[in-house]
Amino acid sequence: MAERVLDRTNEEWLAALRGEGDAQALALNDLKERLQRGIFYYLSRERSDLSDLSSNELQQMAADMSQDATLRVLENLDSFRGDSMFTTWATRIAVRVAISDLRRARYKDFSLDDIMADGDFLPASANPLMGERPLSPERATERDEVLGKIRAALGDVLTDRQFRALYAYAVQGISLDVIANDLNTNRNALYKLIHDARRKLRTYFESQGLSMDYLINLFGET
Amino acid sequence: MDAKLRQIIEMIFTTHEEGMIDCPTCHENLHTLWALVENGADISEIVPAMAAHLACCRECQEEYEAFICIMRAEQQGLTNMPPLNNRTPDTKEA
Repeated sequence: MAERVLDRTNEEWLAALRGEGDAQALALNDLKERLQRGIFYYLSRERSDLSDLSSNELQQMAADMSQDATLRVLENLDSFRGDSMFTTWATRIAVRVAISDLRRARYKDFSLDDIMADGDFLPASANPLMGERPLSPERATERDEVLGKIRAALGDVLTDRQFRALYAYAVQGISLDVIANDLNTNRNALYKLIHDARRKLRTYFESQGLSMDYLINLFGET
Repeated sequence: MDAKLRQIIEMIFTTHEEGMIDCPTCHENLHTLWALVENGADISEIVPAMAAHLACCRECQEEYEAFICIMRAEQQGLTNMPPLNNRTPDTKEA
């Protein structure tokens, strides 16, 4: 039976994980335990959305995630470039596994069609009598005109796919991974789609003389 | 101000320029940032492209923060500590 190794160099990690028998089993177990401790720390100290789970439930969650992460590390051993400590690289992989799991669980019933059914998310026409400090008729008219430009931009400048993606990500706060799955694409392609939509809208707004400071100021008034 | 309107205005105007890195590149280089962060470096000065992506991408920012959180905890020996007092094994938080 191989002896427990408290710490390993990068080369020792790689050799053990690529090896066979007890030495490999021990390295796998050490790696999984290390990743599990880190994930558990993150889940228990940093995730307020998991505060209703008991320590045992979080430990089980961390154990499952670290098991998946260890397998992912094994699958990707050849891509380790040696540009950090091996365990730092493995932690990066474990973080992606853990957060992806959390996102999938959070949005398990997500449907882009359902959230698009919410309709127009922009506020209705400015009511000059609403708010703590009533708007002047001129300011209310200005708001309505700008709202019209924003509404037109979202409808005319963007493709339907860009609008749906931007709405889900920016307005509804849905995860890129989840939206990408719904749109049959991948996270990076979706990021690019949303990035292009943001740039198109920014260019359009700037061509209309609408800066962020102006818009925030205009709609920030009450 | 209407929260949804503000979210979309800010998202439009805070996007970065072309030529910056994408999500996979950001993720694949996350571990190399630790040595910099560990030594107190300002990543916006040393790797501005990555900092720009993190500022624009909520998902990568979340992963970056989680990664740094775990690495700091490991460095300080906190991951070897027992659960918080208010997280006993058999009871849930109030």
